Amino acid sequence: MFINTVRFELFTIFSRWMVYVLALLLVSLSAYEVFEYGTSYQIVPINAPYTYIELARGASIILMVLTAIFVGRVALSNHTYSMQELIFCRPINPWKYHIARVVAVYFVIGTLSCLTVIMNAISAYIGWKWSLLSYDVVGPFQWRFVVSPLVLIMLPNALFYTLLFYAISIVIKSQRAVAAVSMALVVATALLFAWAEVARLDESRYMHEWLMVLDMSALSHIVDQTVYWSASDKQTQTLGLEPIFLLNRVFWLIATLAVFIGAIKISLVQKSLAPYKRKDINEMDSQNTYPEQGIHAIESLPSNIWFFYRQLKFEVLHVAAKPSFWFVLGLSVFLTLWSPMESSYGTPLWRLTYAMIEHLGDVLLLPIFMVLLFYCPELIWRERESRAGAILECYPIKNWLLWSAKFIAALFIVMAILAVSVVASVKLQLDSGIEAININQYLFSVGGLHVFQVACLLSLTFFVHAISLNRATGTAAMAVLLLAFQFTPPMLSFANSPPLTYSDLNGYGQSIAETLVYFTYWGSLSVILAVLGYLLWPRGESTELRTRLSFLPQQLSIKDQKLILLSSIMFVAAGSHIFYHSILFPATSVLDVDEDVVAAYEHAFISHRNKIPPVVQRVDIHADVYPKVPSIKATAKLSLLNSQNTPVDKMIVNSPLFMGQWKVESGYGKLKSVGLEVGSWFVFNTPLQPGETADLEITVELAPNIYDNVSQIVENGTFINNKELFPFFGYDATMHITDPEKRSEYGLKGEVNVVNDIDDSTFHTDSLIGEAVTFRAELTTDADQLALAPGVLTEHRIDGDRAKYTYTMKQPMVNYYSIQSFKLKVKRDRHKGVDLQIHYHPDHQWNIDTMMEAAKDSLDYFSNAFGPYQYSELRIIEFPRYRKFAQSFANTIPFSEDIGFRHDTRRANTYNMPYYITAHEVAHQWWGHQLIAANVEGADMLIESLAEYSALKVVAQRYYHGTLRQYKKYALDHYLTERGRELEYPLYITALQGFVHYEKGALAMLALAHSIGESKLNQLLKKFIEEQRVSSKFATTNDLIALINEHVDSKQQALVHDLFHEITFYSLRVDNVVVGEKNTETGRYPVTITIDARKFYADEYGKETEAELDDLIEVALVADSPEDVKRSLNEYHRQDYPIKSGLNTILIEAYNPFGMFVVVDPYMHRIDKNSKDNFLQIDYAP
Amino acid sequence: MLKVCNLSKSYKGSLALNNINLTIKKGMFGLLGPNGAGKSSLMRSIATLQSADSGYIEYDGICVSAHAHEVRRRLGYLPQDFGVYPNISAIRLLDHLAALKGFANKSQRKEAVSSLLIKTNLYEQRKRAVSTFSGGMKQRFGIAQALLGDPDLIIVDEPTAGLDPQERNRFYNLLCELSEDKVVVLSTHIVEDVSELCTECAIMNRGEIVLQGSPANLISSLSGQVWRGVVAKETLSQVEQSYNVISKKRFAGEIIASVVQDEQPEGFLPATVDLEDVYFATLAQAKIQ
Repeated sequence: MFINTVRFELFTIFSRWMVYVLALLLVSLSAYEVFEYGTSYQIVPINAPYTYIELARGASIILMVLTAIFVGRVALSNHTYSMQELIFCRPINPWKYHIARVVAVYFVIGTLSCLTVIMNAISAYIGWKWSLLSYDVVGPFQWRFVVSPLVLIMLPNALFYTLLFYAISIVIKSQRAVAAVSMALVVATALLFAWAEVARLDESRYMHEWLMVLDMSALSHIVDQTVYWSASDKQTQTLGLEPIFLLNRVFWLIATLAVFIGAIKISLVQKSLAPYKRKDINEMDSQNTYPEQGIHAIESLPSNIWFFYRQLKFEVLHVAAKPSFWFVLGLSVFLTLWSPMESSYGTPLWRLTYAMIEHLGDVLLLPIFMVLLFYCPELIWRERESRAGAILECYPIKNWLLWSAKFIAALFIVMAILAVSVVASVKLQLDSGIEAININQYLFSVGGLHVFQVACLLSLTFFVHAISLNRATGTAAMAVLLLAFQFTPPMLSFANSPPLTYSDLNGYGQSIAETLVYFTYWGSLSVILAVLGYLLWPRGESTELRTRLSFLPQQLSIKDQKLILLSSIMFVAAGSHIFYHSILFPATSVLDVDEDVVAAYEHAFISHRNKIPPVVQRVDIHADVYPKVPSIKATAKLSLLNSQNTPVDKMIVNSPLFMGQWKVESGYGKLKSVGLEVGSWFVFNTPLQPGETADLEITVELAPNIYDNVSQIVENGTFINNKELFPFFGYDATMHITDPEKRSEYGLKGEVNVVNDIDDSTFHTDSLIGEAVTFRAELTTDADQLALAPGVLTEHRIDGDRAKYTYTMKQPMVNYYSIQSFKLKVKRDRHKGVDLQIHYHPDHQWNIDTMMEAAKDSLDYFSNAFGPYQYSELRIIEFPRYRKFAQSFANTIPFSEDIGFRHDTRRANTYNMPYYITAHEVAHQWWGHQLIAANVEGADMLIESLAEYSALKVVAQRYYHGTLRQYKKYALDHYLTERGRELEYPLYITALQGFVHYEKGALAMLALAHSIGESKLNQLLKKFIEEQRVSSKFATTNDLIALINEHVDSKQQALVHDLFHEITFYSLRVDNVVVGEKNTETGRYPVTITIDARKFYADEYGKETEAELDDLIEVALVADSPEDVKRSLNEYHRQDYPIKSGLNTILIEAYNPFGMFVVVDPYMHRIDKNSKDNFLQIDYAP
Repeated sequence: MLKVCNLSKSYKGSLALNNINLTIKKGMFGLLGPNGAGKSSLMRSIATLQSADSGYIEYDGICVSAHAHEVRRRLGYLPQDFGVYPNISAIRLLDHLAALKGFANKSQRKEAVSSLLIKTNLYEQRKRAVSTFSGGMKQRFGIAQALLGDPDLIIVDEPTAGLDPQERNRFYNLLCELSEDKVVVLSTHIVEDVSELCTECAIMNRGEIVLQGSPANLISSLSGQVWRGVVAKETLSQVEQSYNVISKKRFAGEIIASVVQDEQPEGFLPATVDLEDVYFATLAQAKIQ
């Protein structure tokens, strides 16, 4: 009977369309992945083990929902089709029966689960075999790697889901309950995963492991195992059954089995109770004749408004009475309160209203989708599914009344969700100590924009369901549409508009106008859909769409016609406006140019790839900023010098970042177009001889339209630099196509060389950022704003409603400057002859004192260590958070609202981000503004790694040196995570790789400082600045490394080699600790420590080869767990020990070592991928 | 009052209604026909629920398809099969429906609802959810809602299916009482019901009206032509071949066949004609054609 039941269930399942739809969905998902892979560059081949793991991860969540739907349907089929009495009246064993059904369902779900991964492998194979994919995306086929993600993740997950959902189905007997549970499970999984991610870095190991055990889908295990895989690891490793992972699998197997068995028991009990239930539904006797009663006629018909009110009340009460409504409200509050908030380096951020609104936007996605895919169908199909529609069909109530009552009821659910979430969010804000809660912003963003967007989606949902055959097809169509809108361009992505960012300085800026046009566009379409929706509204159960369509012309009232006509006009008008400005004549940014232009650029100018253009010597600018428009008009008078030893007949003039209107005028020559907007030639009348100068005048005018998304020029907080505003000279190597196939397609020769080779001495006389110039700026802006550029204010005048500011730099400065205009509060201070200013938004006062202090401490430390500060002023200026960085110009540091100002540093032991970032930017006044790097590989290290190192030294001095452990933990995590996504090159030739020149560079410099001593390293760096200042060339990493090597011993030279020339990893592990007998003479215990140590060199793919380790590495005995990087270690003993490859034995003596931790490399000077095994606790009992 | 003119309606290629012409006066009108004859389709057309391909329906001078809304105000419709919202009590549901009909005044609505619940003997059960009602009670609820607002056109589509005989009687009593000054259109496939209740009736088959008139006239038109006799099982096929057998019934283990023809067949006796004979004869006639 068992086999028969399985066979019968399988037959039933495979005779329904659902299983094929699911299979098709999963197969197309993997086909899509393969397609995506084939079209873009990827570090890992499409058939690498890591790709399979990622696919398994991606499919896991989808499968959770699909399994719920599928298992629910199958498990409830007896109930739905009233079959159970037919089945259970037969002599079958219910246990066997249920188990057989679960086996059948699991067979199907298991197969479906494996489908994505298997299909990916197969389609990759097909693509490779028939050369449909380019060869470099396909690696060697290692079929065994397909197995482990299936066996460890997909199949067990499928089993857990199947057992769980089957159990829920047979107990609750409601498809809706199963759907609700699956949603709750998705939420729980997503939250557990997010918490585990936070815990991985922020919390203790035990917390992390607990969360990993509870993670039913095992997503956090995948991350935990694979997060630090290099490109090479991703191709050669697969998931392993680690103890904690095994525990997770076993735990959930037992848990879901228990639930399953419990559910069968409950269902058996339910069945034995069933007869008793029927007793109270006994028929009452009715009289034989009907009482004489008059029938009441209606005296006067009420207004439509009254009908609407009645119907609305009915629908809303119906919604509010459902437990699922309260479930989704609870879910929303839960998500709002418990989803992890963003933080950086473990430092939380102040919960400003805009941040909360962005947070809500993310966490409420699921509840809103639930409304669209679950509640709306419920509401819409209510009459038809209960078959009350048969009665209502011919009631004298108009369609639009029925439609709008339901529409408003659905909107009511959404507004209730938003309202409770906003309340929860305000509570979070109040709890965190925010006093100024911007209720207006909540009303506008959540109550206005968000509700509008959902209303549009509701209109679409109602329309789709109105023309759908049944609830399932309507829901499926909506699901597909919602999914598709995630990938379509904005004009085709229903109810979406380009992202909108709020800034306390400048509100939504110009983008709000763009959003309003988009809202007009989608809003008017939604009105059309709404009208069609209610005209085609299926009131009863049996009317066909064709019938309703035939009624359409009759029902279309004049009012409807006017509405449709008006909406159509608005839709077309708004659509054309968007299309014209954003597609036909799109944004003016160089960053958006297409490959044709890039290729044409290379063709036109490649002859000057290796020619250094004349250098700018003098800059004199005049800029008029009009914040209200906003726009900017500027002129730059430049003086150019031919610094090379050959005459220059022409040079490349690149269009500024925003290709607005610009022109170059000069008596020395003129522009010659090559038919490209991105660049032109400037041809000298007579070739510019070596040592000769030429003057140029550049005029630009920039007035971005609302679709341009230009955040450089805004009403309050304009900030634009010279490369964005003015044209610049010489070959722009960032305009390149790397893909070899595309290169040959465009007829481009050779390989692209984006960054100049470190040994190419031509570029040693070319600076990365800019050469030293004399600078003067004359700025005008509205009278209520302050305009700012590098230099010292030498003239200020207010003329009516315009203000004029003139800045002059007394000494030469790097030709890289900002122009700013803003209205902010300012804090001033003076420190050792330097004027300090911080311009900030009045609401962001939290960290101003810290930043001021950081600026002072930095000036002190750097002046002392690297030489005097070159300017008499230092200014920090907050700018809107549309862009998120801080940048150092000569004596001027624009600082995004999102960085530093917003960090909440009240908690003890928080890593002080504002302090650290300020120090980093101030350090650039030396690294970048005093030391000028040559335009070759490694330049980023000279600028960023040295600034990072300097900043961290200031941080360590201000706080305690242990505070760097917190920084290092995050830096290490970032470095190790990022390096697996691209090819990695050693520090000395690093280029365009943030994780190398920031994180790895800082770690390397700190390790070097530890090895040779901070003061010695600083002296060398000071010497480096001094030497470079008088050098005829700009600085390279080779120069720095040579200088260091001159002054250190051979062992330290080996370290220098490891840090800068190699990609080096250490594997350090405390193998064993033995406490011996107390020495009665000294009163101390001997502690014998065994340390297992290894060193590896990695190639650019991360393939490691072991190298000989022979180095001094710190070993310490500490009282507090090294795991908690936020606390001091409480050192008892710390010393450098010679450590060699293999096992090393070290003897330490201690008075009371019990309960202490032995830790190797406690301050993380070496890059070790697994720091969990770097320490061991000594038992308490002697 | 109610006039159906040249009404045709096809459904997926087959004719559901084929050139229907009817004139219905006040009183009870019965629509007879086998399953799938087009009764429901005709009823739904009258009840404003579907549009015809050609032809029109007029009620009291109002064109039903063009002014559906006006007709709906005067219409009470009891569908063949209907459901109700789960977990809503009879009184609340009827109150809701009354509001949808247009009872805006709360006290009037309350009164109307209560009196209809009393009239249909549901008042005692008014607080129970309609979804838990038995078949008869649910049907009574159905008629209660159809009577909301005192409609003068009442359409009941096979209302007695699933009712016990007692309940069926009660139901018809109520309908008869109502039909005095209203147009009541009743469709059924139980011939007896029509002959007992209706002043006028029509027989439908395959989308066409095949016979129309008052039951008494129809019966008298066939009088003297119907013969009944006991037929042995073995000879049945032979009898069927030689005579126009319109129906066969089993009675106490034997087969009684009814035959329509002018002369008395051998072994058959003259029978009292009832409407059922008319019905069967009409269908048999249609079959031959």
